[in-house]
Amino acid sequence: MASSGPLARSALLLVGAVVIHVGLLSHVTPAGVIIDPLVVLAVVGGMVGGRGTGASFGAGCGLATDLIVYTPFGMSLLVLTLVGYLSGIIAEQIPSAGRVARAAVAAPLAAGGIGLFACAGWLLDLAHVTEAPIVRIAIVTALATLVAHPLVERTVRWALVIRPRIVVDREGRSRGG
Amino acid sequence: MARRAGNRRRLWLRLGLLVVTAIALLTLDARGSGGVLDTARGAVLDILGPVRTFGDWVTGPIRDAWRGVVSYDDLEADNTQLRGELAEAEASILRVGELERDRQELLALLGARDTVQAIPRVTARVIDAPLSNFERTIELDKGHSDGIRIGMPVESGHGLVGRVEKTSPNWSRVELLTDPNFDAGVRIVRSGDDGLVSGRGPDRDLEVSYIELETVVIPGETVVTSGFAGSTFPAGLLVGTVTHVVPDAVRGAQRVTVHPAADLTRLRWVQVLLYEPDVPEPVIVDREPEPAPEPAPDPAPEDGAP
Repeated sequence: MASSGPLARSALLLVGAVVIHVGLLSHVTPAGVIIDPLVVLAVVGGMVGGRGTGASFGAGCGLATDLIVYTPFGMSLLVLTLVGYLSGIIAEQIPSAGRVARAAVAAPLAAGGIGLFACAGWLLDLAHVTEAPIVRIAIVTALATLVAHPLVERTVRWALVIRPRIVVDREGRSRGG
Repeated sequence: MARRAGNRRRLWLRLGLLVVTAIALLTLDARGSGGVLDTARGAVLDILGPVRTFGDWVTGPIRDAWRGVVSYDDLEADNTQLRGELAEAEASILRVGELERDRQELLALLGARDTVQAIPRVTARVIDAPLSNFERTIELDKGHSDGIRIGMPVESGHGLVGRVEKTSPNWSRVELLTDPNFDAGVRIVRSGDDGLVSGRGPDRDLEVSYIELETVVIPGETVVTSGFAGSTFPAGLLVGTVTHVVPDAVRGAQRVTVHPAADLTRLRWVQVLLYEPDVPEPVIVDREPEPAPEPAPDPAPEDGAP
């Protein structure tokens, strides 16, 4: 994210995600849960870009969330920065994972992001955060991440200008990473 | 090796900077110095307002249809219940009309004003879409360009809903009366005892505190706002009905549980009361010490005294 290309593309992606969140996802609530695309983006950003880019990308997602949601300003920034960073660390442990495996890792990471948000709410003594149905929100977010992962990953790769990985196995066959 | 260590240091530095920035923003917000941050958030939400309205307009029919399919049995039960309530309401219209006439006559006799009815109102549509799972407020499609100000009471046709917490030119945010931060002065109508009602979280009844142990409170009693001096609520707004009364000998008061009259889960339209409380004139206290009174002169000695 050093050159202006990835920065501009990331900003465009974040604006698009906010518009989709506000215009569509906040109205369509499976099991009464609002799917937060910015949590999914922070996770996938970390997994695609690594811990450093993940932290910055997560921070962008957090700042965007702070600008639209009335929780203490900076709370989403803190949580999603950590989510992006931790996702980067986890992804570095599974460099040759296939698409399905990556989606399967992203889902619990997104659920963990919701858990981290609840922890921050508990630390800041926010009754409306701690009294929310955290488990249900985490499960729905994880399922949504699992389903949306291929599309989100492709979009994040485009935004961060990272080419798809080609993994070549021992027999010389290649598969898209 | 050295390059790797340098990279790691840079990563930690980047993470540290971002975390420190987040904590600094949190501190600013907590100290109430987040005026700029609030303005920025308000501006972003103002810009996104049409997107939200459009999204609501597009997805509304789909959501309604889905609800119709998924909760058909519930809707049927609701329908039956509403038909029953309508029949009861029709039967009591005449009686209510008589009572209202009596009330107006009594008010006229007392020379009192029907304050709640006299307050101008703005009808607003509830934007049925909190943007996060961690928000427990509702937002309205009217803002301070319609005269809405922070602190103004909001009610539905059934009773008090909450108070305006934030406004921008075109929208406002309402703190629901079930929010743990909400409180308001209330009066239990039959006994006339005053207390403080507080929210206890979504889907939970309210609690009225400071009701004396001697006061007889019966479940089913009506609770209205007391409208004491300086309160942001006028007197007489319906809050709910008493459901439980538990004496608390330790506090020396009763814990009264109240079910809100307004159904907060199905709000579509609400009314904002353009009510601004009469703030009492500030009392200016002269802090300069008054000069000490001079000692009274000794009374003149009476004749014949030594």
